[in-house]
Amino acid sequence: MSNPVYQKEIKMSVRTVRFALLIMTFNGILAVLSLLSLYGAVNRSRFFGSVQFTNVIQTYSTVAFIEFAMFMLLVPAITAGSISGEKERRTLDLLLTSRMGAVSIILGKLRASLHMVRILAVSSLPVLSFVFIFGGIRIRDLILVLIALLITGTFAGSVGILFSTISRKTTTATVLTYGSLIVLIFGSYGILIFLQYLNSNNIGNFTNGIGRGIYALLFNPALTFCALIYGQVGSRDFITTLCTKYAPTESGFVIEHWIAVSLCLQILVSVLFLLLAAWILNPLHAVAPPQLWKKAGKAWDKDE
Amino acid sequence: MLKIENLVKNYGKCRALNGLSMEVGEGELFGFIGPNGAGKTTTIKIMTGLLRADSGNVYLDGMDALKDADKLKQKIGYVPDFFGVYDNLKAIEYMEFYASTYGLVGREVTERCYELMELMGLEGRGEVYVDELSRGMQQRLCLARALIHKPDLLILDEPSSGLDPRSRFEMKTILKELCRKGTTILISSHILSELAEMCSSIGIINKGELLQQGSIEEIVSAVNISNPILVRVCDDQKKTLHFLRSNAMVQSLAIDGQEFQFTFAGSAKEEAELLHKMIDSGIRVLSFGRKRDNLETIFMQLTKEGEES
Ligand SMILES: Nc1ncnc2c1ncn2[C@@H]1O[C@H](COP(=O)(O)OP(=O)(O)O)[C@@H](O)[C@H]1O
Ligand SMILES: [Mg+2]
Repeated sequence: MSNPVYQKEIKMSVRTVRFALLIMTFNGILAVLSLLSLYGAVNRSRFFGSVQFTNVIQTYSTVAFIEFAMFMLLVPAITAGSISGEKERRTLDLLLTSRMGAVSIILGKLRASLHMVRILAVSSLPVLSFVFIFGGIRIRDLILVLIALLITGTFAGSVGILFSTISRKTTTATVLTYGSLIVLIFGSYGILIFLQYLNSNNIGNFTNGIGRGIYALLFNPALTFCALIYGQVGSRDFITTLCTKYAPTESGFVIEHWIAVSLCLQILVSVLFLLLAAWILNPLHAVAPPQLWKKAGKAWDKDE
Repeated sequence: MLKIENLVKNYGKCRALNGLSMEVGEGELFGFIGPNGAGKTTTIKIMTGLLRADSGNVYLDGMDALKDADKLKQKIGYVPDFFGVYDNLKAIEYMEFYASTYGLVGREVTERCYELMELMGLEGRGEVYVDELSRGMQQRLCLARALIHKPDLLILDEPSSGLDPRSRFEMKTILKELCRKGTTILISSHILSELAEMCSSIGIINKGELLQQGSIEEIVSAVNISNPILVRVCDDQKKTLHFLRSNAMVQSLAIDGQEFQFTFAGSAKEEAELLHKMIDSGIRVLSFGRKRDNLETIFMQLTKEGEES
């Protein structure tokens, strides 16, 4: 049987003007940027007499990165309100007293937000397929990109839902979700750059780079996505480069299958987060969501 | 039907429920009355599985309700004190959504939704967006929603707060009708007069404890039994005074003109005996009886005692 919460969410969101605007803005931005990029490629061809393959490839990666960035911006915005929105609207208690379990409620919310994202992804396919005009990219590559986007979307979505379950207000949940994704994506990379800086200035001894610390980057979805795209356009082996630079001693299975391992880990973490969210949501199980959270939540919400 | 035993709930240091026990019989319209902060909502949330009790038991039809939450949810319909609505759902979609959360879908379910809405006086409103309905209509829609899975016990938390008198009256009529059809109803309120005439029995709660429970007459007489006896006589003050003083069961005697007021430590039979003897000894008794408080006064007294302690 289909999930009632999922059905309701779809019905409600598709009705709003906001949703239409979202699709329009998303594809609008995507179209403008890819057209600009394509225009650049064609324009340069006037000087070279033929369309440079690398320029088309560049359009492809640009569009893919934009799509990734949009996902990272949109998914938290959608999911952060999922549970806290029901709290603010005072409808959560009614859901909890129904026969739907906490897990179904959480999954319904996740599926609904992924559905939104999926509509966005599919609606952007025409724009993405610009790149096929000049060839060079296989359908298989595109499918891989979509899968990676979906997994990363789920990952970001589970972070959003977890924070939404903890927070009483959507604003709080949104800030926490964006905050933690920023720390995850830029923070982890920032540390690398900082270490590199220390190294190049001979402060401290970093001949082994960050060693095993490199594996923490598996949780950085942006890095993995970069590796995927760069791998497809064949410019360089992104992870090997990264590794020789920051962790020259590390090698082996994980490094070789970085993308797959990272995506699997993201799925695993998503499942854990969602289960945790369901556990917290269930009023009869939530003996005490760790005191720390409670206090942090109160300090944030300040409406006690 | 519903039996609550020694329910205790603490919010941090604040003790919201302090060993609350009560019983609601099958087919009753039970009024759960207490001042604000007495612990009504807390009790209701525990009954509906929205809150964990620190200790105590809740039995529904002999079944341990706190252990078997899923069965409990099937048997209870709940209208919370504050509830919200989804702004871009139509009334019928709202009903169908909640039906589906109980695993109910299909044509018959839609028909049942319409039937319930009609029962609540919402006929012809199916296609209206929920947020466009008046507050009273939303309340009745929420009541219709709570009945969707044919619960045995309907729980309403302060259903009349925020309603105008007319909506309140309609609500009462609907509830009485539901009760007549066999649904057991528990309704909480902080206003006694509102429930007094419609409820078959009431429980008075204060500071997380149940102070009195029973039918309205039972509560009134239970409280009045400890009230002082008032005797009015015709001219025989001295004789009466002498007579009453000589009886050991008469205590704290007070005189006001021809009126004697005292507390009596004996049984009802001894009380009747006293009157008999008074008349036998030649005292001309005009009236003999207890001071009778109305329910409102009793409620005020009971809940005031709680406040002072
Ligand atoms: N979430 C909460 N946190 C802390 N204290 C609470 C909470 N909810 C209720 N209380 C306290 O518990 C007591 C009972 O509250 P409640 O059950 O809402 O009373 P009522 O519904 O009878 O007005 C009150 O003293 C209230 O301050
Ligand atoms: Mg209350």
